[in-house]
Amino acid sequence: MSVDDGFIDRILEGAVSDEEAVEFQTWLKVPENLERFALRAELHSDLRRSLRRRQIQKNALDGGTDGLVTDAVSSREQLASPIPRSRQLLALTVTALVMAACILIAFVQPESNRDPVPAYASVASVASVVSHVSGVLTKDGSTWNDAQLPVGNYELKKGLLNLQFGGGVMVYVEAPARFDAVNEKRVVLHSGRLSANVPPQGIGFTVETPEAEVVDFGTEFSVDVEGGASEVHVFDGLVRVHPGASNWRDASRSVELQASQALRITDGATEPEDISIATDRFIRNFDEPRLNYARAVKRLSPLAYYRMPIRDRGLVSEPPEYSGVVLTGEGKRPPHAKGVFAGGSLRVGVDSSGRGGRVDSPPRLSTGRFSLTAFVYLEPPTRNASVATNLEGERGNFDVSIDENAVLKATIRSNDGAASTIARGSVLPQKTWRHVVVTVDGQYLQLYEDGKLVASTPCAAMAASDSETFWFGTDAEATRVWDGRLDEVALFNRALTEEEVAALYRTAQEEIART
Amino acid sequence: MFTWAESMKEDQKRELFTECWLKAEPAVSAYVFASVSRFHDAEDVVQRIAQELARRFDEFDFNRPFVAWALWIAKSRVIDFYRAEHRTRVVFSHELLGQLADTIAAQADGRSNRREALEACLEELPPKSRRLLDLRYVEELSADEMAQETGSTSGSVRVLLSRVRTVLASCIERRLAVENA
Repeated sequence: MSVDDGFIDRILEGAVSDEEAVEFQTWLKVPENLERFALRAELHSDLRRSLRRRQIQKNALDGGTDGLVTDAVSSREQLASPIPRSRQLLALTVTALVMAACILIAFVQPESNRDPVPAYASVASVASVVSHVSGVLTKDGSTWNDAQLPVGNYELKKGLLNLQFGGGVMVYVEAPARFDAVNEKRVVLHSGRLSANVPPQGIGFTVETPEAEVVDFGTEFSVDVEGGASEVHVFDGLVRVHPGASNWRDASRSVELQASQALRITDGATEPEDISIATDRFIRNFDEPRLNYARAVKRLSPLAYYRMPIRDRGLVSEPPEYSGVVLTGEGKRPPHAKGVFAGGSLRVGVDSSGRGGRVDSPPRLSTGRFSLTAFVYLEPPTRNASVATNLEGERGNFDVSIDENAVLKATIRSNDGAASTIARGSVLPQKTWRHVVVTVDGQYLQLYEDGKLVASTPCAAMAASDSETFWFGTDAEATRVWDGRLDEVALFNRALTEEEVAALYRTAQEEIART
Repeated sequence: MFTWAESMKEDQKRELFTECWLKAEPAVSAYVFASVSRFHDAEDVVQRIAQELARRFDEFDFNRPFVAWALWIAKSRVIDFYRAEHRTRVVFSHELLGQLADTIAAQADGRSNRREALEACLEELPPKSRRLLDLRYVEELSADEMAQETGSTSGSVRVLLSRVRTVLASCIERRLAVENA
């Protein structure tokens, strides 16, 4: 291909076709070409910086009010001579950096609470914000930051929102959702997912959808409105569903739903349809309850334990120094979902903005022994995806993933530099939680699924790792991204025994039955 | 593991970090501008790299060049950006991102001289060329928008812009050749 400066510029501005971009990468394989490209990129970067700085300085001298630069440029002499100017710029950059560093230090302090919501006085409200996780709420198209919600049309564009209506009714909304707050006992859900927990004082709380009206009789239920259909899922208690649009409702056609029942009402269809309850779909509270499973894990003294709570403080670890970040990109839903138990989980891919998790300051793995326990939930058609890894090129020592056939496998790098891989014989089931454990005891690398040993292979002691970044649901190169959820990930510097793994799984089963 | 950085006081550490970052920033910026196309995206990524370098400064091994470490972190953050942004057209392979980092690290020597030469070369540009650059780099107009502004076509705007850049690149080369002579 013929590459001139004009073409390189177009590449740098992203103004090329996919084919051209691919061809260009071949062209770059020649070292001189790569050097030429790097210099041109440097020119772009320097031009942006220099011209912007000149403009800011010009504005300041013209009597502009940009306070940031008036300190840096105090006289025309400085502007005339490039050397003092660059020193001034240096000073300016230093100030900005020191500020950034201060912000940063404040930023990395472990924080256990969610965003406090400012409690402004406001007009008569029908609901109040209890908490939110990265929530972006708009009212009639403008951002709404008040903790009180008056009557109106709302849209939750991002994140999760916990509202309290009259009588202590707790409502959890997941973005994207559009709803109207009508009064203290009524909300209209136009689209999206909502869960309600209704105490006795809140009985009669009603959720209206385009296809039905759901009246609660003291219970916990969720409503999902999407694409001309409404679904009602009842987790506890009793609700009455009146099918039909608001002016076509016929009380005689109402249906009562009890715990563990669910219904779909489709626009235009005469009869509601029974469906199975989706216990894994809805976020029904934001708390990570104190669970027996978590206690059982902690009794085994993990190095780091990631319970994947619903928080916007990143990937929370116990202990907090091993916390990381939740990676996000474009996507409809938040990077959290209902977890294996009552709390949350890390949602990666599918329809969410989640891209996995990263821990930059992970614990050292230096005893030669190792265990990793996790719950995984896979959505099709994932292939070649990482559960957890710190392998990157020559660095790192463990990798748990699924291969191109969706078979679970674990790879361990040993002291002698060799890599041992073990794989389960069968495909990992989809859309269901699976308990996965990998252990290395210096003699064997072993793999457990749902409490049972499913594969074992000889393996020397694990090589030590120091500060290699941990990745959850992705890897360093973002090539093996999970589609689904990960929960309750724990790492140990010893090999858990077969009995310990079986006991953990039993505790998990009891927990699932209980919640 | 005990590192030198741990024995320093916080403010000393911060000062040292600032010094290291100021030296490495042009290389990191060039690297990110090479791999991420829109200004704001590129600047966001650079910002994130700076934050991460500050946070992980304790891990830095002072026996290695800071630029190499910074570019190593930069590579991961560029991959993060690709991961988050599905629409990005030019996505370099990880191998290429690694080679690019090596190339940019190797070009570090003349970088500050090239920057200084650029400042002088900008002064020599005819006002019309300067205006064109300002529209692109300061006012952030796209080629289409610039074409409207200047009563031209986006194709010829791109050609003109490229020519101005090439004029600047030759000017920088000439000045450095004179200095080194």
